[in-house]
Amino acid sequence: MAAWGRLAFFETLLFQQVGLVFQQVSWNFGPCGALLIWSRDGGFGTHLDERETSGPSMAPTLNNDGDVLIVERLSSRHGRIYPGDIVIACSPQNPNIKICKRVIGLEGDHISFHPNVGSRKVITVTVPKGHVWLQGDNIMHSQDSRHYGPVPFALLKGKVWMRFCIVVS
Amino acid sequence: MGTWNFLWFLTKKVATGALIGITVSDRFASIVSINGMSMHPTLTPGSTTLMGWLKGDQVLLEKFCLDKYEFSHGDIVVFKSPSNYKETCIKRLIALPGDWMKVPETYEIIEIPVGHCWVEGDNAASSLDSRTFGPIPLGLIQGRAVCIIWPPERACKVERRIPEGRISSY
Repeated sequence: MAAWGRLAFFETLLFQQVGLVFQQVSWNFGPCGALLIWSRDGGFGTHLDERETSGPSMAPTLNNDGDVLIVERLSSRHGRIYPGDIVIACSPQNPNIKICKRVIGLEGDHISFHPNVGSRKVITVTVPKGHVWLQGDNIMHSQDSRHYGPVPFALLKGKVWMRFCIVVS
Repeated sequence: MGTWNFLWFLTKKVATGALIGITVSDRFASIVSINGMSMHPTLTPGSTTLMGWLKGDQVLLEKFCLDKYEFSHGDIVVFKSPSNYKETCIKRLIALPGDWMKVPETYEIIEIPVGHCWVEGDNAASSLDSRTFGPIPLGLIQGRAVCIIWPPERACKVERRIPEGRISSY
């Protein structure tokens, strides 16, 4: 039992190192989600929630009907995410769905925003340590950090690298 | 030529093994080692040297609970620290979304927001947990501790323990 446990432990370590290489480039399918390798964080394929990715929250940049994006997962593991990047993240309000938003600020940045659409009030917050501020490009129709606050960096699953193709519905 | 054939055979075996290993450690189960005193009576840490590291507890995690993110009160969970994405912590789950909970050492009663949970270490004196950084998103959780598998004399099931008089869910 014990010897088996040690062996399994070292194997797991080895495979996690190899896994980094395999998970470098992965494919995120929008509404037409197909899984190539059955992996929780998406080895080579993840479902994105239709309401979130194919919604209007990233409207001018990404399509309303959903796009097939190529997402690389190494940047978020190694902390190379900067303001302006589009990221895939686990939603802090519902862990079962993934969201696609743009990073506005990193830890220590001061962010000013209107709490509601059309309001004159301006709120300024400081992003706490280890968090990022996410916002959709279509600020009129986006449920983002203005509603649920800054998001922990560990919830980011990957950086969107390029659009592979457009889904025609 | 025989060497190349052997190398190709070896590469194929390693690639297959790696894929199976990733899938298993990602979806089903993995093993973590404990360092840090925050869960002390339940899980004990080893020291940083190699021999001391083997004396510390190795805990088996199951990841089936991550399909629907269904947890129960008193589970021991492993999660990424919300203030540093490189750190992984192991703590006990006290309250789940929608619970009303008494914050320790104060008279406050708070409601856990949707999609969040409250985690605390068993050793309250040296534990950096939700009393410092508040409720954490459920998406940070990496797995649930099932049993201690190493060292052999401590091998046992990790039991759930619910603190009394803290939570009321309605």
